[in-house]
Amino acid sequence: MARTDWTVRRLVTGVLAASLALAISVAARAQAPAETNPLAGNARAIDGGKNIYRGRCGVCHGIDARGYRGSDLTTGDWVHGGTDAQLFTTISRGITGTEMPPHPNMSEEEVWMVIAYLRTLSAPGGAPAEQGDAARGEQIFWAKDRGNCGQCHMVGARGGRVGPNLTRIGASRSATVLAREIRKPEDVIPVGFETVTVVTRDGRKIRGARKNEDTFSVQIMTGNEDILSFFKSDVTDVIAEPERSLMPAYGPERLTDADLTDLVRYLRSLRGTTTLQH
Amino acid sequence: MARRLTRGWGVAVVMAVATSMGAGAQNVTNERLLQGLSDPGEWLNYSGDYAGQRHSPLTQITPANVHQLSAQWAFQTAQLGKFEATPIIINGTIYITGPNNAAWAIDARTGRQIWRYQRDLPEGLNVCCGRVNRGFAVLGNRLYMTTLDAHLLAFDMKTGAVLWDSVIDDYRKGYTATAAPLVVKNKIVVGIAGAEYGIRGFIDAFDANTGKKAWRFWTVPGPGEKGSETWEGDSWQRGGGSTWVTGTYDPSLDLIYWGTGNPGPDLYGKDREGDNLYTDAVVALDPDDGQLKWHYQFTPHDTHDWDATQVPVLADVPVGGVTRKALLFANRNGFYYTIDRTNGALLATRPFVQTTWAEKINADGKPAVLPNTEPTENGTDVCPDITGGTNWMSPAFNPKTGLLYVTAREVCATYYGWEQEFVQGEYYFAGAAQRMGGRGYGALRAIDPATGGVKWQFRYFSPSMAGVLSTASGLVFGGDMDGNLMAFDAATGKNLWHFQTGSSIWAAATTFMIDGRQFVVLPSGTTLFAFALPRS
Repeated sequence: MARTDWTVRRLVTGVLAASLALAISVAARAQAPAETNPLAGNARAIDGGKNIYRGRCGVCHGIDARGYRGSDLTTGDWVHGGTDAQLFTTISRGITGTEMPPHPNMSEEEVWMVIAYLRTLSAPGGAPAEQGDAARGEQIFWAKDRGNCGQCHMVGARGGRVGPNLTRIGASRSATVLAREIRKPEDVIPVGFETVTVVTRDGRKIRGARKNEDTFSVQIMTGNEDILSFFKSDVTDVIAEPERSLMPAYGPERLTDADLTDLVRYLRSLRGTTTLQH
Repeated sequence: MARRLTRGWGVAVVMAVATSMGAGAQNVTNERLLQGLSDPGEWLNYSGDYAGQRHSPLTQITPANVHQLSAQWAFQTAQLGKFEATPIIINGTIYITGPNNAAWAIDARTGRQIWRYQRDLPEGLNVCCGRVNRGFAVLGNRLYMTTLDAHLLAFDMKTGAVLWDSVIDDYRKGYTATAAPLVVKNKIVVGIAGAEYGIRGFIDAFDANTGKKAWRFWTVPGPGEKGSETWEGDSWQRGGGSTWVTGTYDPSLDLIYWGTGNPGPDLYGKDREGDNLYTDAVVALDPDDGQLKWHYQFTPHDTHDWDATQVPVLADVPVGGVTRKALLFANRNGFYYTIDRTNGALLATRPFVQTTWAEKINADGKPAVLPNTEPTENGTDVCPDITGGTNWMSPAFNPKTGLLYVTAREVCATYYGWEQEFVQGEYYFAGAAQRMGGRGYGALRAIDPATGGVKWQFRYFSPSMAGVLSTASGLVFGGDMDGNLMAFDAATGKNLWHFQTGSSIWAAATTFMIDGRQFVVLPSGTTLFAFALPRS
């Protein structure tokens, strides 16, 4: 291995996290200003909230709020609390450790308007019953000759690190979205897991998940969980593959529809915290 | 006796140093403002000089030595939010504003704070896009800053004390102010923001001494006024046309040039049929009374939120073999324009990024809009995206190379639009936009004003929102969304140096001399960085 003409540096995750720092505006919003929504049921607020929702929330939660990258908001199932005050806090401050960002640019009134609108979406009688056998889905998840999902994904303290941590995936993805992501993982590749191939000057191709990249450098995690950093000036090429996920597509030949239903049911049951207990 | 003598000398020495540091600071006259960047220790306007060229005459840092640039100090603001300001620099002191209407005076030698100001802002502000501010203006011994609750403040430059506080307009109606003011003669000219909340836009001028309003130019004309025929019904009342980036001034023509923002609502136009003057335009105003002399509208009847709130760069450039008094404008809609700044006539135009909404700009100056490019309920794919081919980030012009350096963005979007009832003070966007085709990318592009053609580009990994600085030594400084401050060869675009600041860059670098050394300062994240060559 000709390590003299290209640079490899093993980094700790903390350093990468620091290099990801962006100028995210986080207004200091202490508490929800009211326990109940002062605009609840207000027709004008609901209409206005729909406009705000579609403009600001729909990108992740779907224009119809049935979930895309973010969770389905029509089920009435609020993982981080379903009271008005809890929803206010979730929207304005975001959820630490998840993809839900804070919204410091939204006024209190706008947040209440969005909540007034969201209340009109919840299915009467609560979320519909989910199909499938979670226990069987869990077996499929871990079995090396079946899903073998744990090779790359972590649940709790068990599993791999190359793919996204799934400990709370059931709280952030609807069953429909999960099924789609298993069948066609290339549809939506989360930030931090895009496929990149680095071509070294000695011709080696190193594929991994992009942890970070800028004009001058790229940091990846390889399939065996090595974190590598390259200056672009030291390598021949850095090839992005936005249409290709590191995760294999699980078509019907690998997972029958029944298997998929069970697996999704298991994933939907995962509502844990991603904070590792020490 | 000896003790008294020592104490006396101490006072004398302190006074001498203070006098040295403060020389001239009390008297930033109009003459000094007209001289632009001729004093190497100063940066007195948002764009450096009235022409908006952001081109410094300094030459100590060169293409040959720029790789030796290193950090000299870092000033921590402790203010989260986008740091978009350009500082005012006078005789060794940097005056800069930050998010949430915080502001500081900082010793340029050391990065140590002289004073700090923080405005007590009311609850309920409607701020579409960040609690930002883009900088002070200066005249005499006063600094001027606009506020998020739509006031204009005058400060004592020495202490940061507020001398007067004038209301620009009512923040409860959605008005907010973020742009650095422009000083012209004895007036403080300010823009306004809030087109996402159904405001009716304007440009205001205030008396520099008293804070009394001198004139207002409505960017959306009222009934009976010229241009009102381009608005349907009463749609003019909430027509947008905000003015949230500082304009420029040509003393020889005595005209102010200012870019105007999108019509409201942003993404749905069926309630406001017509060209919607003077939105998405550049207007030329008489600084004495705010009268409109001419206008050029880049995007008639815009439904993609393509504010023309870019800095109108003034330069005399050859077009067709004849030197023209030109206005150079790389627009958010993806087209570059060279305009005759005496009369608003279009001289040259060409797309500088991928554009799919218009085939070209016709000879009459209007775009040849392509069909099926309007936002719809189900989405319409259009390039550029809603943030645009460029945006508020300042370009720079080097008279020697004759090139305009522009931060370009190559991103497309799916635009959604729907009818929305207007309610005063509420978000009035009437649609949404979703980036399509992945991240896209950014680039620093050097545009030839004679043709609009791109002479060179340096590609950034991500679309950038950072401004540009040019220097007479043949350098261009740019920045990117991934945190890199970069220096380039102005003639070729070759990257010569970069520094990872650790946060997305939303501002442009500025440069000045102090103690015989050329400094480059840049806001990034919560930090103001200062760079210079090693001491010789």
